[in-house]
Amino acid sequence: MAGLATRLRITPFGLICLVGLVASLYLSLIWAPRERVMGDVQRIMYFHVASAWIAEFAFVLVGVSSVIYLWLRERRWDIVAYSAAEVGFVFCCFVMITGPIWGKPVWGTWWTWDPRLTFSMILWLIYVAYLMLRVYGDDMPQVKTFLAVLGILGTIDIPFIHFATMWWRGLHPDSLVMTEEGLGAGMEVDMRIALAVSAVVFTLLFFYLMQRRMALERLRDEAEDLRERVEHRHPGTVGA
Amino acid sequence: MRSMLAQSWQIYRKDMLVEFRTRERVVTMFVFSLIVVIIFNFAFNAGADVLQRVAPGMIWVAFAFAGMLSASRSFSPEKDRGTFDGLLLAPIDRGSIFLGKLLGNVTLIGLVQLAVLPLFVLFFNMTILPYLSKLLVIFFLGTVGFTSVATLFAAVAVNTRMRDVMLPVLLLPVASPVLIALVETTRTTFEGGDWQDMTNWIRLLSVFTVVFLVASVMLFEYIVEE
Repeated sequence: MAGLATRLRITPFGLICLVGLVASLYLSLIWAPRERVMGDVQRIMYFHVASAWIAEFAFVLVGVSSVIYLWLRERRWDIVAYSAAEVGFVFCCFVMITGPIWGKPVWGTWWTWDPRLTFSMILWLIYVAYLMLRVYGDDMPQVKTFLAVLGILGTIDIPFIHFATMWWRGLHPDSLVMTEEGLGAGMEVDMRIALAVSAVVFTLLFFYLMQRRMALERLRDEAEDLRERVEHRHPGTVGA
Repeated sequence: MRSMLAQSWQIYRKDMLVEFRTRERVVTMFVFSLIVVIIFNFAFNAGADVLQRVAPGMIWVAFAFAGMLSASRSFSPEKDRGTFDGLLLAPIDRGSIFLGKLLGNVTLIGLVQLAVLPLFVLFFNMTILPYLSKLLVIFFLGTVGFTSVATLFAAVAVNTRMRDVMLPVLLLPVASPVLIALVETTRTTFEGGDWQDMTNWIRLLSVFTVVFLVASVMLFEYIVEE
């Protein structure tokens, strides 16, 4: 029982993430120089780009663990895939929310069908499909297999979505925008450092949240197992 | 390999026989596509030039939904009547069940496309004859690619509680690259473009079709296992 309790307490890893987040906030919001044209709103980029990286990375992780799940059929790989999808979805939502907040003052519009925006939108929809299938299929025995299949197909799909959205909008008018955002050569060294720190911290945070999510899923399994055992010994004492 | 193709052919023949006795899938798909085209016409309420610009998008929305109808109906009656378990018990490769179903869906969607396209051209005053050979290649590639994913996800969706809602939710985001490519190539063709104006798109269509066809055949086995 003591094992269960310690698993949910704050870990050294969690503390590192917390310190990292504070440092990253300081670097992004105070230390990094103010962008000349866009002003302070540009600072959202440090979190936006870092989350976008996690959103994509997390789905690749879903795909890889799905392949391993189909191969080994071990519940823990399903847990990895599910946790990565859930945490990745949160970061993907963060991308979809911070993007328009930045876009409105800079581009003058909340949304435009720019390749990257379209890409994030489709990725977000694939996450939604994955989580919906998990929820609506929970009563089926094969749902883990179905999810693994969706995870694999979604991951294979990422390069296709990338090229399709890029060619769809052409490279010409909007590529300027991307340098405006500060990804190109226009970025100062301090900004690059702030972005790099933010990306590293977000990656750590992702793994920390995943660890917690996986622990929760294992606890659920354990609770389910215990409930079944009680039900087996004293029928009718535990609700469904 | 040869026996796998022969087995798929048997599945395909069975499905087509059932279909041509009732003709329910082809008829519903045809009427459905026609209604989509007409409703779009109301939705845009625009002049001929605007309609011709949005026409490729309309065609593919209509065919995508007709394709989902076909894919979904290729599994749901079997599931409801319990004949799908019979198919699984048959001493054949699971991949060949998938290929047979896929072939059936491609045939039916192709038939509906053949029937709807002339009406489409008629309603929107478009020229089609000079582009026919190009359209044939594009439609074939795209339909096979789209339908492989649709057939696979239909086999998944038929097992869920919300089967009718789940298929579009699962399929459309994953199939979006192929749909974008289809609309773009169809538009380029209708605007008189040549193959070199759409090299990238044709490459994307071909690679998508091959990759997702192979992946679907491989993954279907996992989906239907008990």
